[in-house]
Amino acid sequence: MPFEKPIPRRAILKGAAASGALALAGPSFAQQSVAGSPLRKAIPSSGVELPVVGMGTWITFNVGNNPEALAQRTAVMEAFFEAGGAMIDSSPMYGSSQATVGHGLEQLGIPDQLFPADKVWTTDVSEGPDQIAETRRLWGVDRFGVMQVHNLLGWEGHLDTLQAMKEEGLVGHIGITTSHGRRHDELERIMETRPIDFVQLTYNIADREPENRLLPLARERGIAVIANRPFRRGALISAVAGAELPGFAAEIEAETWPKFLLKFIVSHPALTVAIPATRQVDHVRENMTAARGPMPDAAMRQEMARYFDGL
Amino acid sequence: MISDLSSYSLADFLLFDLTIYRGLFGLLNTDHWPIAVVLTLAACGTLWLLLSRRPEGTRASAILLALAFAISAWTFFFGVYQTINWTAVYPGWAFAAQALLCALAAFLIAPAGAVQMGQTAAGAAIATFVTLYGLFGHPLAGSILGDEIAALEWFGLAPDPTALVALGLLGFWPSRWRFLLAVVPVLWLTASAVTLIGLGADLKAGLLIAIGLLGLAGVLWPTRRFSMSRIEADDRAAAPDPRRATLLSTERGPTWEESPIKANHRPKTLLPTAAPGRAALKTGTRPPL
Repeated sequence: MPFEKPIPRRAILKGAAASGALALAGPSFAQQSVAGSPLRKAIPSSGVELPVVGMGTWITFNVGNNPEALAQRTAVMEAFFEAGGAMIDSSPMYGSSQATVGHGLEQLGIPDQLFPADKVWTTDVSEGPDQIAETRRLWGVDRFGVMQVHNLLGWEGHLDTLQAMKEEGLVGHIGITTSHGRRHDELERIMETRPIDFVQLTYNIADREPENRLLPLARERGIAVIANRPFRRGALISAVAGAELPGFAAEIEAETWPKFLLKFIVSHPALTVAIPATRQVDHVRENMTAARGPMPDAAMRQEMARYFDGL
Repeated sequence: MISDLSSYSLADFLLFDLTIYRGLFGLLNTDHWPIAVVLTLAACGTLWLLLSRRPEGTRASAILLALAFAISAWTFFFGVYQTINWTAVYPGWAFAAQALLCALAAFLIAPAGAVQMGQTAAGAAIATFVTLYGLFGHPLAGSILGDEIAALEWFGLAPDPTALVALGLLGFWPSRWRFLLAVVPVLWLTASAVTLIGLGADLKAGLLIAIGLLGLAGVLWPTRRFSMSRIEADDRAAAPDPRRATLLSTERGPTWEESPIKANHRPKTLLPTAAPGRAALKTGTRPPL
């Protein structure tokens, strides 16, 4: 079932914008092609294409009511969209991050390419629909591109709820998440037995364990993969600070370590989107450049991993 | 180098970064700064009452702490902090409970004059230092360590200085209420220090731990660890004049500052002047609250 663009609630409420928003509800934006746009990969279950670099909001968008920080995060979102970004991922667990995203969307308007990704995060399965409704309100959108079960919390019941919502057209895709390499065995069983569109897990050049089973399984089952913690919350960038990039990095136009690290992730054939989080406009622009230019092939990816391990 | 990276750290349990956390205090001060000014002045007055062994001192400090914990719970935990940390309600309720306990202690502490007995000079010094640090040293340290002036943490609004001042003032209390009322401040300071470490503010965390431990020492300071016979013997030796030697047996004798023995011998204990307290000293028991 192809994902259709979410109809922005505020756009509907604002009469002037209503016609434009409804127009977006027609063809999938995966069919849209913009010259110079970042590399896109398709969601296997729907064919919808997404830029391979998205944006996470863990910690970075949890700014409360701080007016300066709200304005600054809005600027980050603006730069993200200007660079062709689409997927923004958040969660009810992330403090005020959802509200911060909603604030940014209210200021910027809801761009055509937005692919909102959020999660349901509650032990009480019966609370799931209300929580998702609150999440929609905070974002100011009526429909999410993907709604995921956060960290496998109450996943059986929530997946039933999400599947029903997907069939009703209330969400575009459904998925499940984990992080820090935890509970991969359980995640594998879910991927094998449940009809999910997305799986989100921690994958980066230092955390390559998913390459063994989960990523091949995702390809086999036609499940899109979101990579969280691509920089291990900045720890990887700190770890390589001062180290020289290998000579072959120039072949993939990775002139900085963040680009090098991101290109490694998004070049995996099973990987769909990486979602680095940042609070700085310069960083989001740099991250988005990783979605452009040549990508490493399998041999170079091995070389990249070996070089990193040798640091 | 890479293999040494931990995949799971203390920081992974925090939902926010140091900049945003520090910014909370700027928002707090902007919205409520008059409260901090009033409560800081009130705390100075209360400290003066306690140091001068005024009978109203303990009850005044109990009322002040009740107000400070209630305001900090409402403005910080249920206010700005909850916007970035959904777990903030738990310490918020702890601070609210602490406010109720302090109010209850203020109601039950009577006669107020009795509660000044038993404080040793060393204990008073520790309690005074911790109180003043909470009122002025904590924000000053923050300023030195790079906090913006508008975002300094003040007693009555921010939880850290509120907890520190609480430990300081409780150090003046001989009542066992002080042990109960020290629980929440100690727990919060522990949680706050862990949070600061997770945010990378190790120096601030270290200061908080050091002063918090000093405050706890003040609360635990053995206020009854003095010997009446030894004091009386010292007094007799210092004041052989029988009229002077009756100091400790009179119903309302002069305080030790007023006593003729002051010039050549100052007892190491702040002795009470009220009869109930003196009776308790002689029997080795505490007076009622």
